[in-house]
Amino acid sequence: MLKRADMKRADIGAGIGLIILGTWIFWYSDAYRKVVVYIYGPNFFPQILSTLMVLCGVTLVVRAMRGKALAKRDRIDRQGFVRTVIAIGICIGYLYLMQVIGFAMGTSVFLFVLMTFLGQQGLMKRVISSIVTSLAVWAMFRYFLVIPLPTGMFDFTF
Amino acid sequence: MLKKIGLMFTVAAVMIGFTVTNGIAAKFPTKDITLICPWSAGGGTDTIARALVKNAKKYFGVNVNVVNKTGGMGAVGMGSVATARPDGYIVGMITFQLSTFRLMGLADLSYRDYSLIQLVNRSPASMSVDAESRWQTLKQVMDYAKENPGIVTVGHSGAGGGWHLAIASIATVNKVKFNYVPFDGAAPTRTALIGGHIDLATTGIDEVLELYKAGMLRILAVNAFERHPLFPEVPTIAEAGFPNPSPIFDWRGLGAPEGVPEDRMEVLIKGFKQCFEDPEFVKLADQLGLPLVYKDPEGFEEFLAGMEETLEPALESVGLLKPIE
Amino acid sequence: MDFGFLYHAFGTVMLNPMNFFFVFIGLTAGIMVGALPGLTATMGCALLIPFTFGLPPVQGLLMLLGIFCGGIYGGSISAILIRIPGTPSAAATLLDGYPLCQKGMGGKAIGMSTVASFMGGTTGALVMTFLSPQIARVGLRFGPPEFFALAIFGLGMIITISGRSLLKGIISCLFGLLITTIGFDPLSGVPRFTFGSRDLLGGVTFIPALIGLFGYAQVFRNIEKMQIVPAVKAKVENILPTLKEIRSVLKTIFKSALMGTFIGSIPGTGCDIAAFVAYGEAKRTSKHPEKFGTGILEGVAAPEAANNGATGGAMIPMLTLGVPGDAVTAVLLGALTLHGLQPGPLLFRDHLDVIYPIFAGMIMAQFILLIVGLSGAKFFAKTINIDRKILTPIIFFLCVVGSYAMRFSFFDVGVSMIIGIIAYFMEYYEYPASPILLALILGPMAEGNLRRSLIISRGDPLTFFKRPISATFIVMAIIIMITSYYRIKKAMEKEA
Repeated sequence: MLKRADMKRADIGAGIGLIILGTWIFWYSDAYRKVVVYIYGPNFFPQILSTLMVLCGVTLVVRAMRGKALAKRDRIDRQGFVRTVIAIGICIGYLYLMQVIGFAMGTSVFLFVLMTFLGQQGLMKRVISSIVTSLAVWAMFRYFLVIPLPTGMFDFTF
Repeated sequence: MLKKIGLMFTVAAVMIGFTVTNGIAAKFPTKDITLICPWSAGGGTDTIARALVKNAKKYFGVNVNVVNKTGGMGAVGMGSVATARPDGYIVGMITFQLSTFRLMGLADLSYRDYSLIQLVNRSPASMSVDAESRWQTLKQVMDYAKENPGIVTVGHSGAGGGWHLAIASIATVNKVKFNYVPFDGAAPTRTALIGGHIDLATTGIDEVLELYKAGMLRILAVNAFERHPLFPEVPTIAEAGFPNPSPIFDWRGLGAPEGVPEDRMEVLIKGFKQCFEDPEFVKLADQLGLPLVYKDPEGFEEFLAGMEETLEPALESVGLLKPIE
Repeated sequence: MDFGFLYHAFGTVMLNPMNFFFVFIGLTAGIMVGALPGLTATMGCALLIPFTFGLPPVQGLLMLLGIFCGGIYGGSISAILIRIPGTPSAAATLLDGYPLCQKGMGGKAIGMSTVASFMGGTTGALVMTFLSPQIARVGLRFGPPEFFALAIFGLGMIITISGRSLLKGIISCLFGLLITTIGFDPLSGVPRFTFGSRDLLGGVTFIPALIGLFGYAQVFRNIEKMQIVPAVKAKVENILPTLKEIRSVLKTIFKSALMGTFIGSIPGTGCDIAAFVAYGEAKRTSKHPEKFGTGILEGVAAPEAANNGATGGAMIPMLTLGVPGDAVTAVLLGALTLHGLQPGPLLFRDHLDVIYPIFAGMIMAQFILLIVGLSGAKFFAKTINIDRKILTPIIFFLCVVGSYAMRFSFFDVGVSMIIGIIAYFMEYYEYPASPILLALILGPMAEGNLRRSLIISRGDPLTFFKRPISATFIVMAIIIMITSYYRIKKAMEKEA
């Protein structure tokens, strides 16, 4: 079964990753032993966890080798994945944009762009839904919850 | 008249929709001020902050909104105040931990990064035992601990915190070894005490007021020069037999980012002083057993400089001194 | 207990339309705040404290109580509809709530959640009214070893929420526990894994992590699958669960509610732990454990009854001892103080004029919750019928706002999104997200109390077995872990 082989590879990779990560954490937190104030200092818990992590990693690798990896049920759709990455990119752009042109306006732009990108039909529908949503949330934060939001260069006077 | 001009200005600004730069309006403040509290909602600092600005509108003409920005022993919230835009619209509660950040090597942040506004309160530590404890006085505890080093469990509200350092410096001076049990704040410490899970607890004296009044615990001493007005029968640390020339206090104050224009600082200093003197706030502090102490910016700075000098040896004694140069 | 006085207090509270009004306002606001990802009941209460200043203490408190109950309930709505828990305590609800919604039964799930919340909340409120002092005394017997044992007991629930591979569930859990060690360590005064960053000194904040695990991950999946998976249309006609359906889960509801109330009443534990424990217990004792996670009403009823039961429970230590039961009651405590009432043992003795109306208000809130919830369910369920290409960007945006609003920090938004990306990939390789969340909730409790216990006992690991309560919890945890492991394994084999 092809899918099971897929998962086997992933499991072995993840297991080795866990072993490396666990070893690193164990080594890194050992430095906290120097600043010990108590016997059970800051290194204690992370070291227990990293030990367990290494054990889990080993088990994962062993089980996968023995062919006990689960069959994969679902795989990432390549085209969809590209779409997701672009959407994350749009969102990161929005985080910067918001700090320049303010929360309400930045959000409207973000929602409109993302809706367009996802292929929503109807210009008015997109414009109205993005503006209404951003204004509603903005107003709720500003006047009801009194949470400060980025204002950007257009600093509202009150 | 001035007010009217200000109002017209505001209206004009609204009609345009925005003002391009801050500081065009001559009047300050024209919009709500944000008070950043570096501790979570419902805690002691948060309660004080909210009580302080309850009637702020009377004195500033605008609301002062408390916003909680928590994490990292207050470093996140206090740091965000220090680096905020210095237009006077963001001020912050600053607390005891600010005196320890640099000394403990946690963050390069100290009172020098702020335009100080004022000191609000200064609380002494108290040492308490459960009501059913076999110890009646601090001397009995210390004697027992001297004979049995490392046996008496002392709960405090976090390593490097004021209460930990307060008891640790007393213990060091008197050559006593306790078994320190750090808790996450005052509430779990006192719960552990009345539940009988620790022998002694150090907390702010105000933090045990209610349990003391209900007779669920006994306060052995207050770490200050004078007795506390709400606890007249509790002896000072010197009266209990362990004189302490430089007691460590917990403190809370107000600060603005460095670089706020002078005229705005004046407004803030005056306004917060009025909030501080508001009868409602004074009454609440009284009920809470919170010793209010006002210090103007200069006095506050002097106090904080002295605090760092007191803390250095105390942190050294518990092995937490790692100053950032 | 002075029953005459209690009766009188109930009468005055119930009959005053203004009180009714304030609870109603608080509850509605709470449901809204709770349903929005990132805005929790805790935050709702904190933000609305200034609004209560103008009110008399009792009415102000009633409003905050409404927010508390509404917020905990409201979290389940977004958990069911969009697989994003609005509040941490709704994270167990989504395990069965969302699959139900995908079957087109979102409305029915919300209806069941409302009924279970009502019953759980009422149970909690009644226990609080009649047994507060007794339960508070039990809570005091919880010291560090007991809290550690309780944390282990809670972590044992990963067996029931791990999905297909227990090993991968444990790996998720370890991952979560390690995340909780990032930041300043209050026990030793040392920063860990911060690499000199001031933002990391505060650690990974819980709410942004929650939004990452469930919110962002789900949004990314939605965007990826948009062209492949057909849209679900919710049937909104049958919101009300039938009598038969209610009867079949009645036992689960009451057991969960009582467990929730008890867990909530221990200082320092809250609705979120209660919900997970109740879900695990319901699954373990069920006749068909393999059906949990595929969308059954019982899986919604158990956690919802428990977390609303825990609201009443969490009030107990706050009212009797002045010790907050969880984060929300900590805020309520602050509110009481600001209204000039000092919470503590004396409040319960001397201020029955405040305490009894709180009892009455808490019970009243449950009835209003039932009415508001059932009348709103239809409306809420319809929201997922909005075009997905409009809804997904809006949810994306709400995730950004939710992760920002906790501390007003873009750093948190970044952390949240990174966790979201990790969780998105983990899902494909069958690493479940819920154990991470459970670990985030219980990690600090487990670590702090493990070390604290060992400090107190001067390094004796047997301390956990020398004390009756902690020994009981640990033994129970082990028994439950073993039995549920075998029961679930057997049930899954039977199915396969």
